[in-house]
Amino acid sequence: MHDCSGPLWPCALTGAAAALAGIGGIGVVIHGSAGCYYYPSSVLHLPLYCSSVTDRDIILGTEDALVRTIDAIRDKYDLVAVLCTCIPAITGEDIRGMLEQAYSDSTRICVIDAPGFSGEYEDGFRSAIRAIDPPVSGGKTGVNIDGLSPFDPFRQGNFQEAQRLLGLAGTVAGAALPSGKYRYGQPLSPYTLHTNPDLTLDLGESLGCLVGLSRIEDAIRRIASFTGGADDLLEHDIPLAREKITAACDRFIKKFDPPHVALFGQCRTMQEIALMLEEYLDADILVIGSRNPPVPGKYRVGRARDYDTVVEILSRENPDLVLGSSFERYACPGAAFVGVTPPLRGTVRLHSRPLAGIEGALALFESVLNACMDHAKRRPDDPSP
Amino acid sequence: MSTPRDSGCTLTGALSVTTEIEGSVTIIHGPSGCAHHNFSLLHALCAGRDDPRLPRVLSTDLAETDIIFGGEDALDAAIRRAAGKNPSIICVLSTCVTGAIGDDVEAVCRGFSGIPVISIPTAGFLGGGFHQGHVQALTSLSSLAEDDGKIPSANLVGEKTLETERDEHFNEVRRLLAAIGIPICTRFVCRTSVGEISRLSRGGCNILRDPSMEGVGRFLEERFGTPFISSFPIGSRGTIQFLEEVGRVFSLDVSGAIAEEEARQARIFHEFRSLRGKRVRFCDPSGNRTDSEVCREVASAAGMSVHPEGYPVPVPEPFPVGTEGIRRLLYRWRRACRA
Repeated sequence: MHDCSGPLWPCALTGAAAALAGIGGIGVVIHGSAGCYYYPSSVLHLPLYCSSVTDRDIILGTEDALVRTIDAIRDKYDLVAVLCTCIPAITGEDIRGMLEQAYSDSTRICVIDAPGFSGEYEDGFRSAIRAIDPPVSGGKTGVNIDGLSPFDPFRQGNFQEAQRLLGLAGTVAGAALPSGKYRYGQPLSPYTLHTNPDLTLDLGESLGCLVGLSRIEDAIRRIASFTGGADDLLEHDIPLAREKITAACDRFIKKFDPPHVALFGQCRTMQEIALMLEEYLDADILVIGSRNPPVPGKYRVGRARDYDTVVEILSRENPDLVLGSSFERYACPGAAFVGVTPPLRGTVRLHSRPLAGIEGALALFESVLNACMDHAKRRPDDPSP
Repeated sequence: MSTPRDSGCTLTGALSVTTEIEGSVTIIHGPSGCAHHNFSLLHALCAGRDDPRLPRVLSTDLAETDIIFGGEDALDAAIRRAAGKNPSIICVLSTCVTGAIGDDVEAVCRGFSGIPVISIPTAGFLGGGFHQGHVQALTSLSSLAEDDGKIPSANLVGEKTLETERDEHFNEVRRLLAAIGIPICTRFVCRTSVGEISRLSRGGCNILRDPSMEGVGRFLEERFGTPFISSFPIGSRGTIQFLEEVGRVFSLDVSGAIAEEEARQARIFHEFRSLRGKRVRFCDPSGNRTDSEVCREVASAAGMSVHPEGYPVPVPEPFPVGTEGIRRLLYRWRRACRA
């Protein structure tokens, strides 16, 4: 089947814009029509520029439109990143050659192919970071934090939690990419900690991921192996978090059946969350609906990149707890719902809530248990949540 | 610099119309990213209104091979799939990609019968933005209207369906028209059925949402001979003038309705009498100082004065409609004066 009904996940262009727009010193130019600019601009809330090509440019060449846009911003940035959309990819103009001729060495420009028809959000995200090639320096102290996409509603919470954990583990946060604390060209530390397993970047040695309590413990042990001091975290904070979650889940299971769960979002992240729900709440994981290309894991995974597929999965599986985006919330109003995937529309969100780290795990279980209990109260005769 | 600041894609403008047709399916002929952008924005809007309905939007999900060999087969398949959902109408929107590779969207759409399949050219690079898509969709959909005799009723043309206060604006215009005995024939297009669109020519007057819709107003005037009023009513004097104008079009004596409306306005200004004597200055949504003739008129009627050192009060965009809009505005001004 060729078409998809109500596509739910952004294209490579938005991924590339999300990867670069939050990095200090980089000016991001979307080379394409104004329509391609509007969506990333409205969801990322970061400065973006657009060459706004028209039909005339398609016929006569897009150089003038692009050069005009770059000229207006090049003095403000260390690097201008030109993200080529579908249109220049189709017309086949030699954008690199054109800009080389126009600017030579006077302006540092990086051209990135990010047409929406060629790949997924995650592909665009990674290829954009690869293109700017952040230098890794052996002499740099601290630990880099990656996976901080401005498209992710948990970005700021994850950033703060990663900083907190690194501090408690006896080190400091280095660069935070792409939308945290990093300026183009600055050397990175040789170690990196991931806050999103689906957006890991190949920057130095990986110290592990902060989604899932077991993963967090592994990551902290690795950090402790060179800092020599994460005893409080390993002997107190992580066991205490486990104890709190276990006690709260026990109280829940005493009164209610464990939930039957469907999760929707980026595949690796959902798998880590599913593992925790099964371990602590004895949840029955029915299915993971993956926005990005699925990777094999313990649970049944299907691709869920369009709304009709989500509706079909939900009516087939009939979960009583759904974790996902507001699309799933609307598609399955009869189930308890916890938002873990963008977009999360129709709710007020003011504070920086994490999904990663110890606080992220606690916040997740807090939301899951409250949602399940509220749901159960609406159906007092039924012990399932 | 050509970076746009205040407009969306042509596609979004067209979708703001096509997704408001009851039972419609809209096909976006292009890569799935183009459809996602818009589907996500429409979802945000529905969520903001606590409306659980999601528009039926399909993407032909073009990939590299379609770009090389052409996307017409993919479109044909998508229309067949859409037809399987038993829609009242299928609207096909083209994108930059299909515009650039030269797919003959119109010809593919013509190949279908039974369910109306309307092609709306909306490639985003055609130089226009949201507004052009909105206008393009309305003019394309007017082909569904049958040329018919007039009845004493009015059409509302070009409502901004993405406006948060869309329903409040509609209710106010409906109230004003009801006060002079004029019913609404067709909302072109906002929560409208295909049958209602087919009756578009029967309306005796087209009331445009705002003057940016004058192109559509002229087009419909030429096509069906329907005169138009170029805007929903704005401000106290504007609301009275609106009643007079509608009365002229339908040759009605509206003096009674005007007297009642003036009394209503007087009651509202009395309700906000605590604002009398206040000094204010006007600010746009970004907080920058601005000026507005209609705001000066409302401020004056409320007994306020405009002064550079006055309380900063907002000039909303879009401006609230009619007499009830004045009440909404004065609530916000009173809060600003208290802050």
